[in-house]
Amino acid sequence: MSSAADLLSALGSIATSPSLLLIVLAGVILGTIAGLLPGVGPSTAIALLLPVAITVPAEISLPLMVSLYLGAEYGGRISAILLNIPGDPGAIMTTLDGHPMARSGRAATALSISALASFVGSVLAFIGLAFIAEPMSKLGLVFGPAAYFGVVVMALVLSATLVGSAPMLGLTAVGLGVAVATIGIELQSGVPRFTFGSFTLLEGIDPIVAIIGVFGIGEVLASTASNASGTVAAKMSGRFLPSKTDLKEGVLPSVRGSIIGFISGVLPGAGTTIAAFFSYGLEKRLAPASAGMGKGAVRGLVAPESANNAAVSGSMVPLLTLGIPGSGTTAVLLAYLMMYGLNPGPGFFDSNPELGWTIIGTLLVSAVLGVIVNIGASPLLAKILAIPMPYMAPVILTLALISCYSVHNSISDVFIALAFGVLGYVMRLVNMSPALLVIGLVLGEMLERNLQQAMGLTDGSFWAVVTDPMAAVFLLISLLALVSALPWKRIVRRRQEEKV
Amino acid sequence: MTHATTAAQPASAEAEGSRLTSSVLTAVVFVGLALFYFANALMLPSAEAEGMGPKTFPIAVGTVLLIASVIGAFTVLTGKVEAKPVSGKELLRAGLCAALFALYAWSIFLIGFAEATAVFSVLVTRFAFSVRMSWRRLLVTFVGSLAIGMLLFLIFDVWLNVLLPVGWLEFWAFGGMNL
Repeated sequence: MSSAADLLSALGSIATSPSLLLIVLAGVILGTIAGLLPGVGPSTAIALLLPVAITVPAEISLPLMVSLYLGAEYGGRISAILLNIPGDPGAIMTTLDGHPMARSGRAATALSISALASFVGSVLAFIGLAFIAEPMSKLGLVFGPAAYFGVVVMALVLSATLVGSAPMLGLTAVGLGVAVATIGIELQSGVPRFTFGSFTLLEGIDPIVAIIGVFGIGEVLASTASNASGTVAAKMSGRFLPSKTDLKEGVLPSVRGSIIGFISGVLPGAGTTIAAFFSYGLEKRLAPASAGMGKGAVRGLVAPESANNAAVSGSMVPLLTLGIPGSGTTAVLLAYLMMYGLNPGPGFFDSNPELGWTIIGTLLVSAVLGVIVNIGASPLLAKILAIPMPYMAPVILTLALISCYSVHNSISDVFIALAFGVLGYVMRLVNMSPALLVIGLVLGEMLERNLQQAMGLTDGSFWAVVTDPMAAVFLLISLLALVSALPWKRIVRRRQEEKV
Repeated sequence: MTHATTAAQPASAEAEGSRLTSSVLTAVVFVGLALFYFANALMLPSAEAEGMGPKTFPIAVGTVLLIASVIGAFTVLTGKVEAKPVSGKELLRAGLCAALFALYAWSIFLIGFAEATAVFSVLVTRFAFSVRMSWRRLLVTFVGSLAIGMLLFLIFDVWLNVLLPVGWLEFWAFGGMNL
């Protein structure tokens, strides 16, 4: 069957299955709520849903997680517009024009037009994903272990240098994740590594436990320092539906944002935040001075919103076709897929066509349901923002405890998650992204396995591995990314100052 | 104007001081972890047969981690990366929250899941987040948390088969449901 027929069949089965539609709707609503609550976000919400995931088949839980991910990108804009606090990192640029728009008495319009932009971004990126997913997956089949080793190194380096405050801190976080992945019995030799006599550690650290720790527990620990009582939400004011002028002004920026978002999503590590950042930057360059960027311009609102939603579908491309997460949330999704024994990557669509296309189809259905929920229930969703973090935190921690405990019905996992929570808290002190640790953790095993296989094929020669033509290209990209991330401007400026 | 400047100076000094706390804490944690990992990687047995063996990869990872964490710590300590200002009180609150969570995990086996959840929620809200509560508010929070605990027990233990520890309240409420 062709890709189009597979996709139509998947869309048909979602649309005609009331239970699956309900699951996707639940995912969109949960995701919107998780997205609008500052500090919760899609990664935490998906990780906390583990007890649900382990009791239902992948055909049900994965659509739930994917719709939750897209829903969170819809939800992030609500707190960005009303509170000037992005609900999730992808909505950070939405605050720049969204909040001034709300402050000038157009909060309702800002919410509805941004929901429409999110919809445009989701649909356009869905089309892109549907077209390139299967060919990319087939292309991945020509990758040998050496090329795969190069791809993983590239994904790790790009993630480390694109996300967070400093490339070396990013590399530390990614390296720590890879280091955690080496805990447990080494499969080739059977030697236990870094277990310190603990039976619990023999099986290694479950990525889900670490994810719940760094995202869920870490965020709550970090929130003990913040005081949100001083924030005043903008009132829901202005006309609900956007005017013709608003729509006209928003069309092209939405399309441009969608394209940038999709490409950013495909790049490992770039994700929704970089997508929103680039699209806003482009609009600022293109906009005339009279556009009022930063003062409530429609184009400044719709461009980042369409971009962050488009990045969700974009990040599914490397996840489904190469098994490489394009963002922190797709790293969590990868951990789930691995938990089910499904290995996304080359040939995934051949071995799991129904599931693969259902995941893609879910993105379109979620986009439609997302715009309906986010336009129809905006006033109601905005009320959830009134729940203060001190009362929300115990609920998040309780869900974190249940989720960790349910992995092996063991309390040891809860304490391991707590240790990762403390680590997540320390990371947040210097704006290190916890997602980097997770990306390192889920890719660490893949990195070692491919290196072992590649060295096995080259009689143990590391030089032969890195000079494999395909691997060399990816390693060169990694090297360029690393070198370009160094503070050259600062060094040049200092030299010039010294000369003067 | 003079007054404003004078008032701002100690605040700024305090913020700088607390930035130093978070910088030092981050540097110590990451360099410490990298050193610990690298030292333990060196102690792993070498390959007995052909192939990479269990030691090569962790040593490579440990080396990268150590170099990156030392340079990262240097950038943090020299102020090239902005650290969030953190006071001793804030660290204490985060530490208290972590300690309460550990106690909560331990206590669910002693008093049951829902009961432990209720006590934990009140303690976290009151002490880790420093929310001042009247006795009435405290009681409302306790009862509300107990209700949430029971609801979560019903969802996860009864419906989703995640075996949570049973307390007297859960036994009394769901005793007839083959727990």
